[in-house]
Amino acid sequence: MTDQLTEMTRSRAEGLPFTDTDNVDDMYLTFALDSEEYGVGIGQVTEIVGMQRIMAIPDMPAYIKGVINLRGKVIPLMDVRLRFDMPQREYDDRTVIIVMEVADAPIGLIVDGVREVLEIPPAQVDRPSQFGKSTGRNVIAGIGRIAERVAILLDASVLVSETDLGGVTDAIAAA
Amino acid sequence: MSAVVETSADTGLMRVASQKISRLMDLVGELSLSVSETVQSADLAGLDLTRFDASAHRLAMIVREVQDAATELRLVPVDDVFRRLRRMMRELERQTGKQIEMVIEGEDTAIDKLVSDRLYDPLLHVLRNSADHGLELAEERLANGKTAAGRITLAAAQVGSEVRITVTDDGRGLSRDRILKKARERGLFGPDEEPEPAMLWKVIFEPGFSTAEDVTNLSGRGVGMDVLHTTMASLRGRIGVDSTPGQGTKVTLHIPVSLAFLDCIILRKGARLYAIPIDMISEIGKATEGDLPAISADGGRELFRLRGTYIPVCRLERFYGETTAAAALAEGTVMVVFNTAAGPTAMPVDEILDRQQVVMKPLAGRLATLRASWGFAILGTGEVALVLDCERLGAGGAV
Repeated sequence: MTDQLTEMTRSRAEGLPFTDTDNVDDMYLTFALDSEEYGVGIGQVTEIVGMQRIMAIPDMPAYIKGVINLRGKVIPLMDVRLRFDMPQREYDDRTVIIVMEVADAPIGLIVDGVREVLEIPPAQVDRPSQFGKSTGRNVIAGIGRIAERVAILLDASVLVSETDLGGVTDAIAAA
Repeated sequence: MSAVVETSADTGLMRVASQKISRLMDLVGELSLSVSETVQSADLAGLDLTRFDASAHRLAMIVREVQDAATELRLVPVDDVFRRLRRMMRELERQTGKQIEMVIEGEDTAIDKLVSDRLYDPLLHVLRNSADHGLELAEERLANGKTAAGRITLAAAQVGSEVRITVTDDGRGLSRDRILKKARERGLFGPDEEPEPAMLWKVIFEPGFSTAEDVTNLSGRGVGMDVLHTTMASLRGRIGVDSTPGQGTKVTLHIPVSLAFLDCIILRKGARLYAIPIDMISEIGKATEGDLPAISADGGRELFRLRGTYIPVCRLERFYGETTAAAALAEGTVMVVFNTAAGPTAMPVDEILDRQQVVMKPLAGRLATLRASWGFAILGTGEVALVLDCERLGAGGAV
């Protein structure tokens, strides 16, 4: 499955147009953290790679695990579980790195596994203002309703920033 | 990135967009890593590979040559910058009313295009300083037995992996009294401190420092030195000043030839790899008995004895705020001593691994806030080491 996704995201990165019926803005790559499902806009994803050798670096919060050398590019890795104050989990053969380009800089997100690429039209997305939290930009861009489940859609630029995400767990509970 | 390629049959020269060359450099880097991965693949273990080894060796040689050739593509002579400065000198002659003879040497010296693009402003500033403060007016020169026209020499030469650009004038030289007075006023030296000449001269390039009695529109307002400072810092360069009263002043800019490759010592501290540019390191030694005195005062200050003098110790884990109560340093610890503006500083390391030419990658995005680092070095093994900016370690780490 991972290979397939990599293929899909690669073609996107190389600028091959999606068919007319697909709207990239509404396309999300979903991934698992524990039993929760999260999504990021596919437009910012450049590729998905398996776990690599991580080299530790100083002067960064614990959720920045270090950097990898991906074909000559140095990419910092963020453990999204730690970013959300979730318990740490051993990396296994399902653990993957979602490499994204956020604000002109690469970042790799370490997640439990990727699920699928989905189209979630705006009508199926509930925005955070609807849950009564309106101070500043929220890392949760919206809650996508997909049939019987939900995917928590993330604002990658907030996720990657140094912003303290203290309120996140509450917001998720409220959703 | 449009294809800016103009060919000229006459000269055989070609203009190529610099991004294309950067892309090529990146690819060459990836190529050489791929080759070493392939050749050292675990799948080959235990196989009889006589012919393969011979081919692999040849391949590695070719890759190295391609790497050298790609690096060379980015090198341009400093001539372009020097010619622009020569034109500016005529303007300076007019504005100062002084006669200036400008001599240019070593204009063929090659330097990274990225460096060359940024040299004009800092050099112009140094030249202005010489023309304005260094050189005397014709009458004064004649009275002192000099030629009426002042001479400013702008020279470039490659020394090892750095290019030295010097601006030498035959003017009145720097006034120790005036500079020292001003430096003391600004608190750069204590009232009784008598700094070494080299240390003292350097303060004239401190931002906002000017002893000029009259402020002209050329120089003397202390601005512009900021340009010199920030540019030199981002080019990983150093500034040196030498002056003899009555005979003139010489300002030297030390700049690495190439920003792409950096000659480094690779070392390990804990689980992390670090790289230190070789020209920052003054020595590497082992601590022996009595070199590391126990001091509890002042929050447990650590000192290292280097040939009889005690110099401050900077521990990386303390600098990065990871631990405050580390165990005392043991005898036999390897100490790397580097020179900073704040004086020599010793840094304990676990192991010195190698000396190699590394490819530099700047800190981007989330990593931009990482302190005391120039960027990442990609090592021949594919590992990544953090390149330390010793100047900032010395300033902030010499607690």
